[in-house]
Parts: sequence; C-alpha cells; structure tokens
Amino acid sequence: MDKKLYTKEHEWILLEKNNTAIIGITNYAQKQLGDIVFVELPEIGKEFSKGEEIAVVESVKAASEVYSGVSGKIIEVNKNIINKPQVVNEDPEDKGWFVKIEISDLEEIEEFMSLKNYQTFCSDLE
Amino acid sequence: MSQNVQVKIKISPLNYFHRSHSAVMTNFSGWKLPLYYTGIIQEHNHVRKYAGLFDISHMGRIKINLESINILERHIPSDISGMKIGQVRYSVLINKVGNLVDDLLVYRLKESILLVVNASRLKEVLRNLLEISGLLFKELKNTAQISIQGPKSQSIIKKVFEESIKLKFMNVEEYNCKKFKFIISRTGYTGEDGFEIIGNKEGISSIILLFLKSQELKPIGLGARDSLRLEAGLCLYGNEIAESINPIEAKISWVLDKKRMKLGNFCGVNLFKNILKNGPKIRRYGFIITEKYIARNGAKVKNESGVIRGYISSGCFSPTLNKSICMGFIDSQWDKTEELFVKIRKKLIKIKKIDLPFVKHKYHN
Repeated sequence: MDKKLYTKEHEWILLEKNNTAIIGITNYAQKQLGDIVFVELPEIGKEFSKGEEIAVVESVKAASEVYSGVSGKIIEVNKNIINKPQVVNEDPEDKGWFVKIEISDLEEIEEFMSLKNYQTFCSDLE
Repeated sequence: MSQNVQVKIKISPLNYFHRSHSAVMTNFSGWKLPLYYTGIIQEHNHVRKYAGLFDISHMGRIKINLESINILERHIPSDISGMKIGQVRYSVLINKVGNLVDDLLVYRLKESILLVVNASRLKEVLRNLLEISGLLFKELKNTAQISIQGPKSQSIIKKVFEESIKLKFMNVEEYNCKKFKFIISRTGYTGEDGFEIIGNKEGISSIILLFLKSQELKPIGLGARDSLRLEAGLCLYGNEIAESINPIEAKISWVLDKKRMKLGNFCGVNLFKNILKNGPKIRRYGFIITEKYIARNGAKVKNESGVIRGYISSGCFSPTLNKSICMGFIDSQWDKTEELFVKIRKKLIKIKKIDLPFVKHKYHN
C-alpha cells in the first residue's frame, strides 16, 4: 500500500510509523481556493471521528472545511500556517501540512485513493 | 457517445484567452469563467496600483428601441427619458409589484438605450421585459465585453485608440478602431477609474492584444472582481439587492428619481413612498473584523445578549486594508452604540461598523 493517500475531499494523508499520519490539503484544493488568508486548526489532544471537520481554511473567496479522513486524536498541529497561511498555497503537500493524527482505526484508510487514482479523479472534475 | 443531458455551461467568447493565460476556472451563474490567473490578492493589488483587464462578456446586453423609452421608464425609477446622449446611469429594474428584478447600467446611446444586466439575472430580466407590452428590445447575443480598471486605465486606452477618449465618469461614446466599432463607457465595478468596452468578438479580441502590450495591464479573474467591488462598497445582486431588498434598505435610494417619485409614474412607487415615509426595517452597513475570521453571506448578526439584529450579505478579506471586511443588513432600531457580533462556526465574533466604501473611490470627474 502507498504511504501517501488522497480523499475525494482533496485532502492527503501521509502514513507514518506507529499508526500516526499527517494530513493536509492537496495542490488541486489550494488552487481551487485561491489565496488562503486564515487557517483555523484544532487543539492538540482533541479526538475526531472519520469525516468530522478538523480545520477551516479561509481564502479571499470562501471558507472551506478540512475533514478528517480517519478517526483519531490530534497529536501535533502546524502552527506555522496560522502565521503564514500562504505556505499552504506555496507548498500544500509538504511545508503546508495541517495536523498530525494518531489513527484509531487503520481499516478506514482502505477507501482512499492512490496518487494515480486521485489524479484521474481530479481530471474528471475539470 | 453518451447524450449530454447536463445543462450546458456557457463559455465566454474570450475563453481561448483565459486558457492561453492558464486561468484557474470556476463556475459562475452557468458560465465557465476565470477565478484567477496568478492569484486573487496579487491581481487585486495590481488593479489598485496599475490596471487590470476583466472579461465581462457574461453580462447581459439588451438594446431597447428609443420609441419604447416611456414604457421602459415604468420599470426603472431613474430619470431615463431625461438622459442626454452619452450618459450612463446605474439603476434597477422593477417588476409590476415593485420587486427588484436586477440592478443595471442604462446607456443612452444616439439611436437606442442599452441595458447592461447581471449574468445571473439575464434570464429573469428577459422574461420580465417580454411581459411588458409594447416594449421593443433585443438581446445583443454576439457581443463581448471587457473592463479595464485601475489608475493606469486611461493611459492604456489612449495608446490603443487614436481618437482621444475624453469620457467623463458615467459617460459613454461609440468609437472606431482598427475597422471595428466599440461602445466605450467610463464605468466599472472596482471603485477605480476605468472603462468598459463592448464590441463583437473579433473586435474585442484584437484590441485585447493591443492593450496587453502595456506591461501595466494584467488579466484579472472573478475572485479579485468580487474583492474589489466589496472594498468599494458596491452592491451585488443576490447579496445586497434582491427581490426582497428594496433600494432604500440597500442605501441606493438615489436610484429613485425625486421628480418621478412625485409624479408616481413607475411600478412600485407607492411601496417606496411608504418605506421612505416610515423608514426601512433594515439598512445596509459596512463592518470590519479584527480577529482572523471572515463573515460570509448569510451569517447571523447578534447583540451581546444573543438577540438577532441582522445578517451578513457579503464578506471577504480586504487585500488593501489587510483586514476582514463585510457588509450586512441590520435592524433600523439598532442605535449604533450597541456592540454587534457575527456568528461564525458556532463562535460569536465582534464586528465594528465602518463607513462605506471601505476603500475610497477614485473615479475620474
């Protein structure tokens, strides 16, 4: 299985050791949002169920929710993007990461897309 | 091949231009249009400092026969028959019962009246115009329209049109250039000096190339078009004006011509007289938010005790002020000293009233 997976809501999930994962928004998502001006992140320790809203991004044009593709607990947030939200536009799939989560149910990952499938999914949206 | 059962998305005659400039496209009122080319904030700032080129071909353009002017006037509360050739007026189209069908620009040309209406309302406008008996009109389907906005607009226009363009703000004239005919008005939707140009597709396509020889001109998408108009405190149909919002509430009561109000010769006049007499129930205001939140259309406005005082009609991040700004409609009973809060994602965020426009208009007079 790939280590980096994608959701239909345009989030990426990078699986790491010990059932932890990093979540962010895809390049496609940041492009559609345009300039991001504010980011709202959850508190460390907060627990989420799959599909719940974990963060909010405000672009000039609209507010957009970031959903947790998996159930788990927030163990780290990227404070850098609160002060410099433009990092999400500049480098969404690396320096612009949102949260680090401790996954409680690994089976939930199975429905996510590989990069190739996600790219097909995006080109169908065009 | 599967049959196409979807509603067909409309494509601008300048779509090739958006593609060649790698625009990120978006759906807007059934049209596929550029959201931005390089970035909303960058484009926004470019218009305020230099000049921007907008494709506004999606807007509706309707020619009205001069003989129909009195019939048209029954549905527009401004002084239309008194307009001189070359004048442009911002007004509203009113239906039989006094509801606002759209806000629009009325151009008084030599041989006709031209209405420029919102893309989102074109269908409704045409349906309403059809219902007005005796009105002679025609939608100008095969036209394109661009807008050049910003402090450098005049010098950019000058370079292309050999004839000197001496238009004043809210004036229009017909010009020839490179064998094409154009209708140029000194109008816009950004609060800056600027021009809007109507022509056929070939004509507009050819002058775009000439305009873009100026390094100071950059193509601008719909994202910045909205943030620019919001900073300028201008109304957007569906948000600040609608069938259920009247011009007095929206604070554009100057569209109601005083003489014509007395004469009472347009639809809904008694309704508007009553609102003016008794005062509107709600009024439009501008607000700033100092916290990192943006109030969007529909967000509720409450007082400290949680009593609803109104709602937000539009909101965005203002690149010029580097702050979150919004407009909204508040109960007329509000005494302006009572603190107001907007509900954003279950939190109550303080908003502070500020005079409109957020950014001073710089029209050419």
